[in-house]
Amino acid sequence: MRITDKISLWSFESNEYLEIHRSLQFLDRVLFSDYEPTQSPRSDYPTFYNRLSSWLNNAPKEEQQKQYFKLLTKLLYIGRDEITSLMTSAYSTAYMQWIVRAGSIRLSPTTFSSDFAAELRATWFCPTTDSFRINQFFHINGLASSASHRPDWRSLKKFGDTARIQKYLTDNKYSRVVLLEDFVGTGTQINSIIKFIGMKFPAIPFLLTPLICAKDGYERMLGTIHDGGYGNITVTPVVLLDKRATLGSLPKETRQVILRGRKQLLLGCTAEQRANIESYNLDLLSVLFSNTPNNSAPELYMHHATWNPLFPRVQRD
Amino acid sequence: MQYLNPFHELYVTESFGDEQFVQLFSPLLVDPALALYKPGNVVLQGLAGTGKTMLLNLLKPKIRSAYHHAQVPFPVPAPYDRFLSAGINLIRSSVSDFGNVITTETNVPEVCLMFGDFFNYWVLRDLIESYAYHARQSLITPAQVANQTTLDACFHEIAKNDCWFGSMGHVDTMKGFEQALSHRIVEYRKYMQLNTSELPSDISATKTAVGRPIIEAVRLLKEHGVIPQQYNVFIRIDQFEELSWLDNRHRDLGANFKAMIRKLFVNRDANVSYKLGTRPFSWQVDSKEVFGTSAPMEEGRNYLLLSMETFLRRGESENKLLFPKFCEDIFTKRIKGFNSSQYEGTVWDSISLDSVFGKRLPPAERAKRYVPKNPEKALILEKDWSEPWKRFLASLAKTDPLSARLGEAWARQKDKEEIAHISERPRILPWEDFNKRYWKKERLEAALIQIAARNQQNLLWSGGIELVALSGENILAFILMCQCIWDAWLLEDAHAAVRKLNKPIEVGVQTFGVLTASASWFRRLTEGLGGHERQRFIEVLGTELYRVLVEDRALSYPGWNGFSIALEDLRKTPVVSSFLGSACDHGVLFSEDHSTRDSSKKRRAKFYLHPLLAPYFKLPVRRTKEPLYLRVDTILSWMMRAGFELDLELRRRAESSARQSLSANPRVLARGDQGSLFE
Repeated sequence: MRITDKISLWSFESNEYLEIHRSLQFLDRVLFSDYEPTQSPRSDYPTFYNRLSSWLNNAPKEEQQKQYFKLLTKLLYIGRDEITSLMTSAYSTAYMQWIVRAGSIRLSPTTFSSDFAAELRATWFCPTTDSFRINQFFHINGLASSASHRPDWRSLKKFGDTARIQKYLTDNKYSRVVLLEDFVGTGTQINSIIKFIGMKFPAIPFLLTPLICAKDGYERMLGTIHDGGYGNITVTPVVLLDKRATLGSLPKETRQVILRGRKQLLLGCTAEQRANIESYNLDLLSVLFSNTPNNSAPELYMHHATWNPLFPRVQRD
Repeated sequence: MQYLNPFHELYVTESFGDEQFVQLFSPLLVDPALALYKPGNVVLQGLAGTGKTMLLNLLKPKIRSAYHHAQVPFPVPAPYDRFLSAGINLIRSSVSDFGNVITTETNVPEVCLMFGDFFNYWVLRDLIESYAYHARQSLITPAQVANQTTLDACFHEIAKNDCWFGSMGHVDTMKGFEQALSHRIVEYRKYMQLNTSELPSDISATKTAVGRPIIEAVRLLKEHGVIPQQYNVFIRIDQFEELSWLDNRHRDLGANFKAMIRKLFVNRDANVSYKLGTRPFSWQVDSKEVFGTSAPMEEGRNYLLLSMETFLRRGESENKLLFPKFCEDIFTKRIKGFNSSQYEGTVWDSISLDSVFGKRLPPAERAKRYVPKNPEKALILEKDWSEPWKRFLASLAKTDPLSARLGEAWARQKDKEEIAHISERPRILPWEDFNKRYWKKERLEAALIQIAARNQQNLLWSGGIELVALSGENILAFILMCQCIWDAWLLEDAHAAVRKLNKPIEVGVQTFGVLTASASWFRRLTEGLGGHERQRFIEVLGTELYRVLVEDRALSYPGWNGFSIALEDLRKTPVVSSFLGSACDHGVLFSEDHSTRDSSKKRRAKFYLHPLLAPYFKLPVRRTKEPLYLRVDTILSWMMRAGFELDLELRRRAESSARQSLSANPRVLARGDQGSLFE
């Protein structure tokens, strides 16, 4: 059955379905059409509406399909423009406040500009992982960088030489480091980087700024910093996702239907996929224009023989 | 390649350029509205989306010029096409900014006189611009265009006229005249913006009487041959209804400004005619008082009232088919004007409403679609009915669920019950008898609604004729449906959809589009003053009408998609009559007087929802038989449910009525004793 036929039928029960569809139609036009994993010419993923149709059909019963449809009212889709705004906030709010709170700059009308410029020159902005588009961050915030290198610290941790990193900092007169990340879910990945910088660079102040951060990941990062006694590391997310951004925010009926349906979804998963869900799933309802985090509800992104995704996720090898 | 929606823009007049106006304007409305282009004052009233602004726009010089350049015949026929027009848009001219100067100490009548003066200067400036534009664009034949010496002499004489109270004494050329007009308008704007504490004394001491300078100027322009004698001069006044908002700034300020405008209509003059566009509620509800006097203006004597609804409405014998033709014309113009190359070699080459939307599914076919799995679910059978009768209906439902449902209703009706107790299969089906064709016809839609409801199905909406009926004589509603259907059609795969253009758009897609349009129409009810209350009331009303229609198992009252109230009762409860009147004026409800069949013989008014709300509430769009007879107190109880603030006495009446309704046994409805429920 076509999706329009379904909604016509469902609207017998409530005109709410027409309203949800109206919102989706609008969001498709202004946001969803920009979802990068479906942009590739080699992509097997058709238009949003065709994906929506297949996605709803994952559920064998119509009542389940209605609940999946309702789930979309709580979807947090972070588009290209939203990321741009978050990058601006990361600089103008998180970074500036960090500098001021650290006492490096006095809020004096006569000296602030020059002090801030000096502090900026002494800050090395780097991505935490390769998913953060550091070049865009510089462009959006109008930053001219003297740094010829802006490596991601996940790679540095793996391949870098601590002494050479320290030398680069000294040679370039960097006294602070800001590590940026687009999304932090459970914090597993970034936690190992926190330990790395906490242990190897205890004298350098670090600011970790995820643009979007799940509460679980945030608390985990704070726990690691506390346990390790890494006083040089500050974590300031731009947006913190709490329970309102998860399946938990849905009405009980919807939540129960989705969790019951998950059994069917898990049945078709490989062992590795199941392990990933167990490790990372936070039941978030978030999708980034660049990819769907593996902390999001797997119903949104999972792709296997018996499950069609709404926002297919590009998996790391 | 992206396939866009030709109906994306709902309003031609606001979003399209002058050239597109020529392409998309339907000349069908010109003939019934011809008075607009003849000498004489005209009030053109119409709801948003009925085509009122489109007709007024034909008076604009730029539109005339666009026709001239496109070499398309001007839609206004000779000799009425010879006119010069100027105008004022009461919003865009910043008239509302007069509200800024009001304080507790302001002399309000004086501000009204300032408005009249401002109006004169604004309109005259526009008239001069309009004349110059006509001359430049060769809309007036070059031989008729006056030379500069004549123009200067004429404007020198106009400036000397005593209507200006000396304010134009220094002017002796056309250019100087224009400058003086602009200067005064700028001074008024400075004052309205509070950039000056008071109006300069040379202005406040020379306020002109509204309309007078316009009459004098046009008389002299004609005497000097600047405006050719055979040309009529029309002054457009747009957005009259918006003046009401000034009442929020100061009580009666908007009403006084309106009274000032009405004064123009009283000063009848052969040289100048006013053409005023307004929404009905603003014109009908207002007193017709003229500024400075308690005497009202009179329809027929001071002005001619043209109602878009009247000449578009079905049933007006001479224009019976006007609205469907209008829809067809607008539809084909939109499609053809929209990059027709996309549709080459398809059915769109010979486009029509029927070719795109097809015909509405016959009732029997719709009934079958409402019972996709279990046809017997079209029926509710009573235990005490005979087994042969029950078996017969169940069997009939498998091939013709609609006929079976009508048979069920037949058996439930008074004096027809014996059929339910037959001992063998009936040989004839009385409800299918030719003599009972009207009985059947009147009940088809109600029966279909019940079949759909019993099977949890939404109603199917499709077909060009049906879309026209759903539009309720409102072209905006029609285009909105086309827009939503087109969006739905392109939704899943635009490329595949266009490949399928050799047959009408599928019923399911049309239904979805209509439902979406209906929901959008419902959302729009919040627009305008009191919109949220109106919407809540309509929600209650639509839900109640659906409930009573679905509960009427005997199909005794298939006309209950509307309600009727005695006019006498309405008059006694002004809160209700005023609210229902306002809902009609906003196009949310339709009303007409009707004769009654009840014993009181009281005259009554019946009310129906705008047809495009019918899909939202799952109601039939067509009116048949008697509507639901209600007491005013029932309306009060619905108003209370909708959150209206009622005084104590009205609340008491509403609560009492609500208790009666709640305690009423729904079966009463099935027996057809509607009086016991609401009367």
